[in-house]
Amino acid sequence: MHLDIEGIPVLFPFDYVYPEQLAYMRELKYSIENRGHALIEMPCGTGKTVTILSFLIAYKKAHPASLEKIIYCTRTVPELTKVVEELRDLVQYYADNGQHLDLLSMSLSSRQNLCVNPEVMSCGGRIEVDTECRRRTATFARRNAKMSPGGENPSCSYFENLENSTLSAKLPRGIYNLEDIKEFGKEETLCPYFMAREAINLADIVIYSYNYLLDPKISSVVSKSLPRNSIVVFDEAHNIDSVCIKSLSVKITKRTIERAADGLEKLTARVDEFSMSKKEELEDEYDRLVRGLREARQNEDSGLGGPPVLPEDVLTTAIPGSIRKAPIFCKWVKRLLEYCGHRLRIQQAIQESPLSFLRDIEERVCIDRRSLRIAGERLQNLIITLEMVDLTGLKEVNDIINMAALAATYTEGFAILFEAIDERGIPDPRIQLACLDASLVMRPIFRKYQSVLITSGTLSPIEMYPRLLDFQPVVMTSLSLSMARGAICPMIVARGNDQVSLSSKFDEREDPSVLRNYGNLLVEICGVVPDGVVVFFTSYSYLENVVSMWNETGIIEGIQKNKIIFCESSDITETSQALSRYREACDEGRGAVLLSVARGKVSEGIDFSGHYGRAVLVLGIPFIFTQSRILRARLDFLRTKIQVREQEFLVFDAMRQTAQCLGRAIRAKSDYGIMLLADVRFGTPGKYTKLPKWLTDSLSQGSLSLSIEDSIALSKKFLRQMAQPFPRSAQLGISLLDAEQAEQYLRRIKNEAAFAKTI
Amino acid sequence: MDEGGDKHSGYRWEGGYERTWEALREDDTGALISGSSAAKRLFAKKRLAQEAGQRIHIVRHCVLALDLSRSMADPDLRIDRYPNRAGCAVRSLKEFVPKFFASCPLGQLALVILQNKRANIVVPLGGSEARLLKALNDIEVKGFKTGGQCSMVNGIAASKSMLNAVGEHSNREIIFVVGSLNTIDVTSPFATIETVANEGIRCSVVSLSAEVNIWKKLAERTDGKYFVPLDPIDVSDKLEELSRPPVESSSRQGVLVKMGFPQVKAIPTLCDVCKLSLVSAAHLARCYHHLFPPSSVTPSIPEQSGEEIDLELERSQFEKIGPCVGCNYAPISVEEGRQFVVCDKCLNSLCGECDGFIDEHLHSCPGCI
Repeated sequence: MHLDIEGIPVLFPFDYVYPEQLAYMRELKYSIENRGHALIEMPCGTGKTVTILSFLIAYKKAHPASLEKIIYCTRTVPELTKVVEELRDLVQYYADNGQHLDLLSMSLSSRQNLCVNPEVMSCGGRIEVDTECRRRTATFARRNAKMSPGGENPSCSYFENLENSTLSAKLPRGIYNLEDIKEFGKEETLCPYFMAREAINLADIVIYSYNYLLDPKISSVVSKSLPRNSIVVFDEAHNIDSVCIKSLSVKITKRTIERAADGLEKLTARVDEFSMSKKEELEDEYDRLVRGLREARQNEDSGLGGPPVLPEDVLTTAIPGSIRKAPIFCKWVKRLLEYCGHRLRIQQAIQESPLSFLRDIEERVCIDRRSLRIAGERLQNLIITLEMVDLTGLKEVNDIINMAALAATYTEGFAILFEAIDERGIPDPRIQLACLDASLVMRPIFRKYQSVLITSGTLSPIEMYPRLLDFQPVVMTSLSLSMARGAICPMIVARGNDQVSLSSKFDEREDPSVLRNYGNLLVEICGVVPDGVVVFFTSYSYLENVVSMWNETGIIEGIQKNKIIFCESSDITETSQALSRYREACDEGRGAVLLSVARGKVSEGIDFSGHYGRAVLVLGIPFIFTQSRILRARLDFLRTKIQVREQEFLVFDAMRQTAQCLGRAIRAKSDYGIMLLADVRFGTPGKYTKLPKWLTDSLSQGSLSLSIEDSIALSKKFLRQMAQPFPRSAQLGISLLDAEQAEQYLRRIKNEAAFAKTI
Repeated sequence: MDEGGDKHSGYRWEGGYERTWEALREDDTGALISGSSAAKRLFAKKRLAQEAGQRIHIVRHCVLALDLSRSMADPDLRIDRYPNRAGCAVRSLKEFVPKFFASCPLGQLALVILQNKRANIVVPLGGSEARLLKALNDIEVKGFKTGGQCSMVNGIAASKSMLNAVGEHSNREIIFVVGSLNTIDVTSPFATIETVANEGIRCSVVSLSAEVNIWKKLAERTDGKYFVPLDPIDVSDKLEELSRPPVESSSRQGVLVKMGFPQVKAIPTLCDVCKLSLVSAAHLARCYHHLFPPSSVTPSIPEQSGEEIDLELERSQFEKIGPCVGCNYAPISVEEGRQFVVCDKCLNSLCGECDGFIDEHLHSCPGCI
């Protein structure tokens, strides 16, 4: 259908459009026109991706100069594939309407997902594939292969072909998903991975995962030459701050040190070998290093990724003398490793600031801050000079150097933690460099690109994101869900039938009466809700405790009368097994209940559409594990530096996890589901108001503090109501608009906006 | 409500929380309106209009499969002296049986009970209303005993064993009345669904609990209907809908059926020797109305479109309404006049009640005769 979004003609690939989608497009237009960033929350299952794509493409078509590139970031490869398919449908729809879109859309993933060289692919794991690829494609390797064919460096015909051809001439324009790229690479004998990396600079639309933009180590290699007048879309971005933090955090354990020691040994041996046979090359490198770092970078990929620090913080000065000579550098690394090894011999946890860490390191092993900042680059240079392919062990050396380099570059926003035991209480000494400030990663992205769109089904409370990521959005909205029938039924269950209040509060969570009531709730729900029921616990350990307790008290037996029980575990293969069995049980009419964990794999990115999830239960508020020292450090940072109170952040985080869990059940507008929040604390205004607008809209005042009995009665009624036939005509005009109604709707919201302005 | 469920004797305080006041509705003046009867009439009219000119099945062989598993002990659908879902189902089936034979005198019914994962044939296919009602009464006398779980595959197998004996000419149906949220089967239910679909057995499901995916799939795949009634009255309504002969949607060729007219009591039935359909002339005559539906009607006071309502016009239309040709009642207000219709054929007035009665039971307008 044709839509006119304030002067932009949009071709929308369906006959009907949701009101929220129109509102979304308006907001998006406003943000692009004002060259600003946007934060938009739109309910799950309302076609976010197609809305974004159809509007951005229409805008790009109307104003090619002001929007050069669309960069779409997804979290996972399956999500990436979904986006590409929606884009393909959209382009097809344009073609069906007689408009040919001359677009090039490129996707990018790791070598492991893209390589087509059979010899390389047979190696299996991600690291092995990377190593084998390097053995064939690194500059020196190709030089060696040319000089002595059949030697230790085989050549890769796919890569060689790519190097010898101009990609822009060869690559037909079109929509490429990962499979298409591989297919094309196979046909034309071009390396798909490097082709995709090169092609993203030519493409109109780039679709890849977060890391290619967020992780400075990767983005400095892959995404550095993307143009400023692009729009960056972060989809499902409710956890974007955690992703940012993770990309700058480093963890070092005893094992890392051991491996790094092996790597260093290898490096030293290689240096010795070179100083015997190829002395001049080492001297060459030395000379270059004297002249300066920038020049020394040979514009080559060492295979370890770029520097961990952000582009503007990379030093441009000459390499200090202490690490210039290769053998001396090796000794320098050895000192660093020994220092870390020494610090791992701890009995109790210590937290240090980067500054005190640096002082300590200087006092003990005479390593100064300046050389630390540059050591990463130095290592990469050396690896290139030494023509090293097998990077096992050296990756760990690089990690350790990166950690020190980060600490030396940023004195604020980081904490260094030394811990002797892990979260489960098992002795496992580790050093962790924890990034506390998510804005460090986002700031250069906000600066570089003219518009950044952060969107998800659950971004509430939305005011938190500008504070955490330190930016000023021009658009910040939470769109509500238009419904022709109340298809979601959120309820807060506060009490058992015996009036004991339900809570996962630390001192009450093991209370037998609370556990019994949680059990009763689940048994009763299983007796009322058909097909699939998904239950979220606050943590794995809580799940284990509760299930063993339920087993003793016969509650498990009660559940099994109606449903088969499946359990999520921290093991990924086990979980996907359980998931596929769960779906099977739902399909065959047996009915199933899935016990899973908030923040686990199931709560993020697994959809339970239709009968796979007729009810979602959240047992207790999923607060993050507050005893973790990293979290403590982050809370400290948030309190002192950006004035976010501890409680405020914890509630924000818990509620966004809750909303994610609840959103699992609703994946389309015709879908329906019961959402039970089983904790008395959810009923306090400070908590439930933090849920997304589309959820709170359906939460009636009467459902804020129910007993188990009441909630079951309401559930029964809701399920019967939802089972009534629901023809499309009932939705039309309310939650579903045809072309004419869409026009009316747009006119109305425009008038409303104008009216609001006059007030 | 966990253990067995037989303990539920139906005390009000043991049951769920009800919002009885929500069923009441008011009109603009604040008076209570009985929405259901008017809505029902409208619905009947719509159905008649839809069926006009369509081919319908009046020879039906239908198996009633009643779930008496544990889930039927839930007291949420209790009504009058019927304490639970099972009671509610029996109550509605007792209404269903006579309606079925009234609208399809050539039809035959059987009753299968699904319990403890088994399916027991309680009444085999036959045309005896009394036998079915007795079987349903027996369930009531035994106190609506429920137990175990329900198996779709076994239910279908038992029903099929009876339906397979019937010729292609008949519309073969299974009507499930289930409360269970699942089905416990030894083999995959998908294969069973495929076989019944291929054999052209229509499966309709009345679910007393909620929309269950597999049962809905069964109904959709076999071209049957799927209902989830909201309350006990609705259960009867939905079953009533199923009691009416279904419309043939596919382009299946009609077949001529040989029939015999013997002087025995239990007809309609099949001849034990040659499988000839045995009927009586009265049965055939009672099917007549399906071929000639009652004449169409138009409202005496047509609803006005637009925002302004012309009261003068309505008044004049009201004054033209004569007394009902059925009951001789004349409307006393415009409000009552709205319920009146005019028969398009004989141009006599009919009151709302009589109009509904004609559509449902009489099948011809008294003015036209």
